[in-house]
Amino acid sequence: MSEKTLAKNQPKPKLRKDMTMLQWTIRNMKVNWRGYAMVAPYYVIFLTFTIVPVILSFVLSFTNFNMLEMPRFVGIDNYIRLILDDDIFLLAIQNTLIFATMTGPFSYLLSLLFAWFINELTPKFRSVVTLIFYAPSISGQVYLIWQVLFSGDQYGYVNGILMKMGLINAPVLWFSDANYIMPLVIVVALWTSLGTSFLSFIAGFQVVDKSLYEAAAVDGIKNRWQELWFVTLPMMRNQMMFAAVMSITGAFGFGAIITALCGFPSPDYCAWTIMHHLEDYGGSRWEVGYASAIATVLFIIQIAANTIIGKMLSKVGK
Amino acid sequence: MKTSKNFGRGKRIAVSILALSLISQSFIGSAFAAEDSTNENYFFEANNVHSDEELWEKAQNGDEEAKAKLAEMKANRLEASATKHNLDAMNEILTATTYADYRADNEDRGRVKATKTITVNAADFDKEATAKHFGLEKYDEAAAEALAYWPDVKADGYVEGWDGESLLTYDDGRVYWTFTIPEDGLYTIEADYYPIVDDKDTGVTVGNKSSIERILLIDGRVPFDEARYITFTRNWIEDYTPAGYVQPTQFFKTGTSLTDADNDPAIEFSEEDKNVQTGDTTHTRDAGRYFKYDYYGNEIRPQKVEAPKAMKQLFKDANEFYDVPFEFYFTKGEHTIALDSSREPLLLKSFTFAPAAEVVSYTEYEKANSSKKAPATDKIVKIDAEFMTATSEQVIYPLNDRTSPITDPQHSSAIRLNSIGGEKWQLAGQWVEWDIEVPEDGLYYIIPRYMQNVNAGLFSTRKIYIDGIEPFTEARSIRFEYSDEWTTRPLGGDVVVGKDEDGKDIVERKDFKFYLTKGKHTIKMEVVLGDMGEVILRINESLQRMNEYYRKILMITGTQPDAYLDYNFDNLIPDVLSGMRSEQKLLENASADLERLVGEKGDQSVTLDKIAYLLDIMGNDQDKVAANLTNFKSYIGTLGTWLLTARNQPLTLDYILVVPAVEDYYCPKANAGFFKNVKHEFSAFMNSFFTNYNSVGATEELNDKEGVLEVWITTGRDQAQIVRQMVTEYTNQGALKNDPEGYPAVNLKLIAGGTLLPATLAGMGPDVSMDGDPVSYGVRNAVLNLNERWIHEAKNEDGTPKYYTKADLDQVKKRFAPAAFIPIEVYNPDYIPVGDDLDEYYSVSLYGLPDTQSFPMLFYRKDIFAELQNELGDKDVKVPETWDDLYSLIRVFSDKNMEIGLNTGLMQYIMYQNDVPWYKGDNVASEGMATNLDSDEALDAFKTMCDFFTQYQQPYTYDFANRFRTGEMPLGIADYSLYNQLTVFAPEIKGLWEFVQMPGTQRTGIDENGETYTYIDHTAPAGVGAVMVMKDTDKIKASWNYIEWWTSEEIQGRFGNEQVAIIGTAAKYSTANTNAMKSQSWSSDEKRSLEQQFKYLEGTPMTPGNYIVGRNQNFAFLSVYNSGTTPSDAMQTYISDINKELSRKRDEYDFRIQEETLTEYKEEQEKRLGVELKYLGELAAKEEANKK
Repeated sequence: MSEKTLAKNQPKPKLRKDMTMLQWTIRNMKVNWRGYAMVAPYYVIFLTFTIVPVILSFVLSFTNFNMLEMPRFVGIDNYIRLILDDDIFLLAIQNTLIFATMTGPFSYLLSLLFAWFINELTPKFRSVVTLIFYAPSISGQVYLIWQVLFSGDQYGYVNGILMKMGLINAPVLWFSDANYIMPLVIVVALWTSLGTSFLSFIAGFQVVDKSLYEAAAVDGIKNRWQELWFVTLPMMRNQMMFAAVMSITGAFGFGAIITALCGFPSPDYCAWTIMHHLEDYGGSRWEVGYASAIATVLFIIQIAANTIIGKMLSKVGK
Repeated sequence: MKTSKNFGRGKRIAVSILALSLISQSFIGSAFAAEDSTNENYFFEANNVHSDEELWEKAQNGDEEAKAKLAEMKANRLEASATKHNLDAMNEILTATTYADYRADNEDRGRVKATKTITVNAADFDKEATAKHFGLEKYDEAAAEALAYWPDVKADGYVEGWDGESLLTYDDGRVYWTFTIPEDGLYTIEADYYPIVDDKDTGVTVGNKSSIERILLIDGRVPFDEARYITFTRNWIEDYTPAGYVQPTQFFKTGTSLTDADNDPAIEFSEEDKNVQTGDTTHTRDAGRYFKYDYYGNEIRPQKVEAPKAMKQLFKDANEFYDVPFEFYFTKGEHTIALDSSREPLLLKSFTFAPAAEVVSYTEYEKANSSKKAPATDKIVKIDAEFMTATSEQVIYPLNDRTSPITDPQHSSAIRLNSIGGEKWQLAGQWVEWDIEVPEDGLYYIIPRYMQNVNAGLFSTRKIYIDGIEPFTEARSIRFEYSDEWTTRPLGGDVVVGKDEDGKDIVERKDFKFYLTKGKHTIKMEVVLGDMGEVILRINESLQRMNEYYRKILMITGTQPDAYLDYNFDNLIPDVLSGMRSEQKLLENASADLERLVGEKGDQSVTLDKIAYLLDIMGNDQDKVAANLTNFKSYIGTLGTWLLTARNQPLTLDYILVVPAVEDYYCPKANAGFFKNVKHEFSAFMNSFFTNYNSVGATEELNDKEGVLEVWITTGRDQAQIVRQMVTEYTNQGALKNDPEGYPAVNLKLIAGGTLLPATLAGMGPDVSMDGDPVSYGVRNAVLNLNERWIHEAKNEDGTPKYYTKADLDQVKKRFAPAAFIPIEVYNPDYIPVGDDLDEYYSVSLYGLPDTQSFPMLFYRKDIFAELQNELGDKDVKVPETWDDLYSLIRVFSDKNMEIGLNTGLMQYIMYQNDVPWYKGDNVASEGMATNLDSDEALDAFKTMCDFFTQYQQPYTYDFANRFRTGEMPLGIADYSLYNQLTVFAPEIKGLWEFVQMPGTQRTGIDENGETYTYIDHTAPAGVGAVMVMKDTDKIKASWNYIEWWTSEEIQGRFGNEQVAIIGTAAKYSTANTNAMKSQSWSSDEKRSLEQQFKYLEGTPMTPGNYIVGRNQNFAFLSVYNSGTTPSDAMQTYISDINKELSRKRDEYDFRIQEETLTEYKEEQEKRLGVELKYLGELAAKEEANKK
């Protein structure tokens, strides 16, 4: 055999440039299969229960699916209807944004503020106060206490007291009256949403290295505000990110509490959120295609909100 | 035929996964759906139009059927309109004395026991007096016999063991007896009776096995309050008992282990064994276990069988407040007694008037037996308590106790029915009877292994009879103390052994020695209140008076009294204030007595003391009354709840030993040791991973088996168990009817709610679902349309119908009120007529058969109405028959600070009562196209409804049951099932309330002669639950047979009774089957009211998009209520939203929409289906003609 032939028969050296991206990836995966095997369980579950549903939901949003019969492709009809022919959806977006602002940024800042104050307390006292703040969010359906307080019955606490004081003559249907629902629900929302972010802030404050404060003092920090801004907050950026994501997701998913308090649907849709709209179409009307379109919109809004928050947080301390 | 929209199974599974993940990801669908339905519940329901004018028009054209219909309608309507709610009896009750007063009065007058005994034969009843009561002028045999409830004389020998004639009295009517009393004195009355269910002579079932109740009248009047509830017990046995049953008495030698879980042979048994045990009803596993076993080795609860027999019972208090029977005072001479039927028929033999029986005290009993010895035997007699010979009620059945490893027998995973009683055996009067075989004459201790772990700080009491006789007075109230552990201890109690120097009794606890002869004996234990009875009675009476005081104060102050206002109670209601003062003393005494009885100061005494203190303040200082009223109310509530628990006397028994009464008598340990407990608990925990809890009771393994009918049910476990026991009968019909394929084995699965949807989507659904939403599934092609021509007309090769015929369906439909079908029927856009047949019958789809039905009725407090009538006259105050009556009551009530409980369903009631439909549309194709809420009549009804809440200021949010109980809301409309709740949870108002048909609207009808008459239309909307056959089924015939079987009168009636038997009175089943519903245990008055309401039911069509109507109606109402918008404006705002959604939804399912003319719709459908739709053409032609 000629030299040439021999050279041809030589196995090719495996070089990155000789391979396509796919080949390269597969090769590396083969080499590192143990690592992949270890993450596999999580990925399988993540794929099946998160990625696949999200994609399917996106696909379904272009169909007319009534839950029991084969979906029918309808193009972007669902989106057109959603944006141009669904007044209630627009109302839902408005309400959701209000709730999101109140339970998102507003409660986020409140949590931060409270956490900062409470962090100054002695450890024993601190744990007591922490518990008080955190209790509403761990004790499940405790928000139903508001329903007792603001019951529409004349025996409801608030009605009873107001009637006794002579301020009202007939019981007010607090949670069925469009005039009171929004403010009340916002109060309840704030009350319940403090928990998680608050806790992660408390945790964040604990992990800040005390020596940094001394160093900062040497570097010329003048007051507590500067200390907070330049030392504490940058050090707990992870916790802040976590709290932010949690409260944003929470804020957009805020629906169950409103339903429990005001019923489903809330009178005149006055406390109607995107979640409600989604549940209404998916659960009551069995229009899963349309519901998926709503879900997709909600998904986009959430991603956008998270991106913005991430950007804003990266500015902390700068 | 319906064009198939189904797709392959493979595709379905793919879709299901995506939908499943969607469901899990994005919504809490079912929870919301539930919210939805509760919010909009009252708008949800019904309508069908029965126009008199239309019928009359037909009748004029010579339609005889229409004529007959008009006549029938008139008769029905007039009968219902004629109902007057009579409160005379109530006045009598209000002024009645209690037996305690009656007895005290007799004592004061020095009346003593009679000495002579007379017997009155029931068959010799006073025909004249009875006939008079039935409304006849004079007794006339022919006329009397023609009466519906006239008593029947039964010939000699009708009941085994009786000689002479007897008398059958029905569940309604009254019978008098006249007799001569030989001398003045106090007599007890004992009845010889037979709890009849089936009339042997005629073969008619006259009773329905619930408790028998009579009102006793002496010389024309009820002597005291308690005589209104004379009850007679029945005799229930287990299904294994009749065939040569021998009570399994076991003998043990002293020292051997009685109870040993390790030795339980039931733990392992072979496949062969299983078959024997599941197939054979008489098989016994080993000596002493008579139960059947399921496939998994669980013991199956035996069926209860009623075994009527000749019985005797003294007239006594149904609540057992008094531990002795009633003694009635009769003077010498002629007297009458009468029994007025409240519940159930009763066969009577005779009444014996005799002086009360003398019962000795235990000291005397012991003295009399002092010569007797304990037998010198080491034989111990043991009976497993779950093998009783008889019980008084169906509810008392063997239970599975898991609290102790040595409850005999015990198994770590399988169910062993090893005990009896518990909370099933706790109400006064319920008894259980056991037979024992005593080896030798002598004195014995009776040692039960028992547990009372329910009423903390209290004790349960039982009365013991040996061979039907109270052996001594102390056996009348034997106490079983509270403990969370089991106890074994001889029956015993406090005995007076002498007197101390102050003349006080010296009391000592003794174990009772019973003298028993060799041979068979019966031990009977009856629930009594014992020593507690008297105290509870006093507190109960106090509570009633306090409730009255509360109401009287409320009438002055309202529910939010002003603490600083001088209401001048001293002048207005001095009797209430003085009553409060005397009540305070009574309660203090009661509290002290209770403390003495229980032996410690428990919460109950504290509650009593608190109330007494409050009464002291309020009664002595009128300025404090208003300020403390709210407290007072909440204390009354607490006391009521406490009374309810205190009256319950639960007791669980494992076994009963009869042990020779020697010094060191044998008494086994009551509880297992520590390690035994740990072992038991641990193996129970481990076994819990391998136990199939959902199939308990199944007699074979049916999962994944071919040819089995799969049925899904989402109710509770108990209900599923009942159905499971009943389905074998369904399968057995296969052999009877020689059609095993039509009646295959049933795999009944208890599933979680919300599983049906994803399962159906995945093509893995059942054949039959016993719950669900028929129309929602139906329009989406998931449920079989029962009204399908190809099903009705399918034939086998031999020409017999393949599934079922139209006639079969029509026959089954007769079981229900017509209104029951409206919510499960909907127009069928896929209907294609065959040939020229333009039958509209098939243009409607029927997606199931109704099984449950609910509808509202009017509840009112009889006592309050009677009081108000006495005060204001019966012109102003009467139980409302029309809405006008009801509205005029508002004024009376608001003067008294009382309210009426109505809901926003009022609009629908008024609409239906005026024949105003819920939706617009003249024919089946257009029904549901647009809402009718904007019609003038509907807007009027809406305004009337809004006015009720706004102008008349009646409450919108309230807890009706609670306010009804306190009397703040003595009148209200609620679903008739509230009856259950009130019977069980508000015993203190027993007999003081009732439900009657809904208030109605005065209307004019046309009779068969074209003449007009007025009547009251009481229509109420009815909601139904349904069983449905899934579209994917390959067993249409078996499925149809199953739903046909399930909705039949017998099965529905049985299911209802079983459910009450197992869960209790609160679980009365609201069946949709008209006859089965009547056969449940209603009193005659209740039954009458229900029957009347049944004639006036409507259904609301469930057309696509129906949810939007109720939702927007509610919005409209709230905007009127909250913002004061004008009702009609408010409603108009929402109409276009409603109609838009209806159109959208209808379009989705190829229904006709509002914007289309029928002709257009017809063309579109023809294009879609590819067939000429003549029946739509005909409808279109009609519509055109109407327009012109």
